[in-house]
Amino acid sequence: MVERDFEAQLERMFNQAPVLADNDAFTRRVTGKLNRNWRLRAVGIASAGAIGGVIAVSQLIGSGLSVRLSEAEERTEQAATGLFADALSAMPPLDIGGYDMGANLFWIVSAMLVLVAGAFSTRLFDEA
Amino acid sequence: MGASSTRVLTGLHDVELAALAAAGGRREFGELVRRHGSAVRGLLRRMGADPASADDLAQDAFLIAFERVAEFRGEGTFVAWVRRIAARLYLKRRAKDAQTVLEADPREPEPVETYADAGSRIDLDEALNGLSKAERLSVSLCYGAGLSHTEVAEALNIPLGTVKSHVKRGLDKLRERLAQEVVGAGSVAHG
Repeated sequence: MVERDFEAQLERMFNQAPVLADNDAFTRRVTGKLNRNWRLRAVGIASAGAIGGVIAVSQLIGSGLSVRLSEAEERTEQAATGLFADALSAMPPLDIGGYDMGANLFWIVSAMLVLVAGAFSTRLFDEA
Repeated sequence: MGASSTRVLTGLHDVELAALAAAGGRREFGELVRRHGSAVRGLLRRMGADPASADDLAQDAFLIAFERVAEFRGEGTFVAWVRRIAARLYLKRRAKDAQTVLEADPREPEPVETYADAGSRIDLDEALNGLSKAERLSVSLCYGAGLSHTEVAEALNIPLGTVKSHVKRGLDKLRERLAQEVVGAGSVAHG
């Protein structure tokens, strides 16, 4: 019991550390180092990001992305034109007084669909 | 940093400051350093480190603590947590320097440090000076850093029985010395 009391007293004495005279200077030293490390890390991360970005861009350019993009654009355009032509040819001619209405009807229906879609999306935005 | 924000920081509990530090708050961590810097440096000196090394080690311990502050869950006190980090760092440094000579040689008395509150200067430092390096280190690790005998044995790479012997002898010497100081202080007060 006496032994335990003395051990508890010793623990208290260790915990009662007096404040050193240069405590503020020590605090400034540690926080200064902390800030310096933080800035270095920020610079490191930013540099790594910039280097990674440069490498990524150079890889994209090197892989001929622009050429492939323009090719893909051309193919898409051709496919869309073919699809449009197929749709027109598949549509039965609407003969009103000897006038072929097929193409006009297609455009009118498309415009109406666009208008309906626009109105619907506007309504959705308003409700949101 | 304004005076009002400093006042806000001083009003926060260690656990709150640690949580803010875990989110990257360097100012909040600075407040923790201000509060507990002396305690950590003091422990390292009591373990046997010279003042300059103690300050370097304490600084490193706080920097490590900042890196790992998210691990501090507030189960114990913040200062006890940092003291354990500092103690382990000190042992690692000693092992690296191959200076862990734990034979029973009495230490040379060290110069008394300047404390801001000299009135509360603890006699423990004087008493610790009378212990051998091994006794001083073992007692400081157990009662200052809160390590168990087993942890001390592992950290110092010595048998558990040896640690217990060092602690026992250290405690006996400390009890004797502290009792002498109490008697001395009493006779001065009455004389």
